[in-house]
Amino acid sequence: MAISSTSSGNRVTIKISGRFDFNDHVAFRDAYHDAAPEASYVLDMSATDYMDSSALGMLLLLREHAGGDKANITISGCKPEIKKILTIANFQKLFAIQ
Amino acid sequence: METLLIVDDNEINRRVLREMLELEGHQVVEAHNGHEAIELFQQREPSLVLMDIMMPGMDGQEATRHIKSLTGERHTPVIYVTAKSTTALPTALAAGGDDFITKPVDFKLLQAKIRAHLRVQRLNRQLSQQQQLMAHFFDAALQQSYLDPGVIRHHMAPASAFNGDILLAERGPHGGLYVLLGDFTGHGLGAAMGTLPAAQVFFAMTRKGACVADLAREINRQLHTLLPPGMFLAATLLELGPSGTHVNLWSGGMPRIWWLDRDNRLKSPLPSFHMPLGILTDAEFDPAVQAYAVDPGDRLYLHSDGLTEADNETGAIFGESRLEHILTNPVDDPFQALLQALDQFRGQQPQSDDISLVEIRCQAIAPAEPSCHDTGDEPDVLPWQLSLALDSEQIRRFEPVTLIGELFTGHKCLARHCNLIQTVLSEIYHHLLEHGLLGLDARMKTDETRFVAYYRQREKALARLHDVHMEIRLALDNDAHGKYLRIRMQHDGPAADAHPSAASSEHPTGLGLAAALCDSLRLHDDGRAIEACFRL
Repeated sequence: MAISSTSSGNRVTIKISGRFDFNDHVAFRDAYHDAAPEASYVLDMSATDYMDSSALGMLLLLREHAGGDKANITISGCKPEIKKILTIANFQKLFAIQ
Repeated sequence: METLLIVDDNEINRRVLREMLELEGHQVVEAHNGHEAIELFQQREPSLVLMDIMMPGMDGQEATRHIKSLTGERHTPVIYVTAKSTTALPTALAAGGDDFITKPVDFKLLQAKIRAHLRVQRLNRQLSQQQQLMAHFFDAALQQSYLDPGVIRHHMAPASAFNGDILLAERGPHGGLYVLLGDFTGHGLGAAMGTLPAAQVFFAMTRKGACVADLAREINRQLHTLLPPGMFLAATLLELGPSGTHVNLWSGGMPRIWWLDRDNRLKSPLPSFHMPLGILTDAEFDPAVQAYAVDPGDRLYLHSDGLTEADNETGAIFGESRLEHILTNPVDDPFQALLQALDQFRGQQPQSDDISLVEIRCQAIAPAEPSCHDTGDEPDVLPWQLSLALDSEQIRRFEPVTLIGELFTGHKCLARHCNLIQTVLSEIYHHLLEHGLLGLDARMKTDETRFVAYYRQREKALARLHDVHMEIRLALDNDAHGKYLRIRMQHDGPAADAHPSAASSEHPTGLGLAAALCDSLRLHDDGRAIEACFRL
């Protein structure tokens, strides 16, 4: 619903508020599109209430942008139900989930 | 019938006035001097007082001052009955008298004055009754707040009967704490009017676990519609997460928040970035929220500008620097220290604006209501079913999962799982729609270009959709193991691949994700129907 990003030095922080689904695709891509692949990314999901598999897909696209296996992406502050979805998708193997 | 009090040391004067007033239909009580007047005033609560000025013992001026200090908000007119040219009149009126009439008394004139003053007195009484009624509404609206002193302490001091400062606090459905501290333009009743709609939105949305950005946006939208131009709400809205380790903050037009650690060391002031609520249109509104990681025991101090702008007799203001000095010089209890310092500073100076101070102690906060799981003695739910049948046109135009999710929020048991159930419904619905009715290939979504291409193709296929239907059925029921939601969706399009995999089984998404979130999920009718059970 609301995606905002800030960057300081080599670190890009993307905050996702409310619902996170395909409707946010453009805003989400814009949030990292201009950032260097080798940057470190922090996804602040503390205000994310809902996500579906298109959102999981978008996380994978970010990972690809950030260099795939070499990507440095941290997901922080998830509410329990968001964490459950990420865990079911085994995303802790692909992202550092705090 | 109104009761009037005559105060005069001369018996003949009293009798003349009494007869005249009784003819007018009033009930009369008489006092011989100032002391008796005060006593009778308290006993009989008269609507109006006729007061002689020159009396032995306590004179009329002193008695009037006393009586006016007793009445408080209630207005009781005092008319001096006095010799023709007394020099005491200006000071007597300054002591609180409302009018005067000279002796010998012109009865026609006195009658007219009494009627006029009783009119004012009645209006005043009506107003105060209406104010009481209003106060009741405000209290009822604000009393819903969760104000556990172990979590949140507050000092709210309005400058008049109605507070233009507003403090709302509520626990989220998953725990955590929402707080709104606001300051309407001006003070008094006009400023307090906006309290009701703001409180209504606040409680309705926080109980559903809304995010701070949505909450700020909705209150802004409501106030922008309701408030007259020039009136707005400076406000800080914050959410302390259930674990007490992070704070999401939206603040507009408010003084900055002071953030102290458990040993009272200043961590950082948190500034206000936005315009106050109620000024911008929804399209102009900026919902951006600041997120901060906090530690248990950290404290946040929020205040309205009435605190820093409080003045004393010399016209000096309390100021940011005094506030900062008290907060940054370690004391046992900064909250109390600040209030004491403010009290000392102001002295006897009357308050010109509403003053608010709030302390929030960061900690884990449990949800307000017991969960559906651990209340074995909770009565069973009344089973219900919901069914929706969509034709092609409706499938194109509506997003049924979001609409169904909105229905859940009012249902205690479902609201707790609302977001996960919506994910399940969304995965099942989109699976049936995209791979069944639209015939899209699930394996396409693996990189950026294909991801976009997939959704473009989806849009095209959706536009061409015709003569098909999708049916959604939900049933809430309970059995020996508790409550469950049964979900069935089916379409009448072509049969689909029985085991489509949207991604590798190592990272289940799509139907795999839905299956993992549910207690059971099965495909029927060559993949045209899916049935799932979600236990609550």
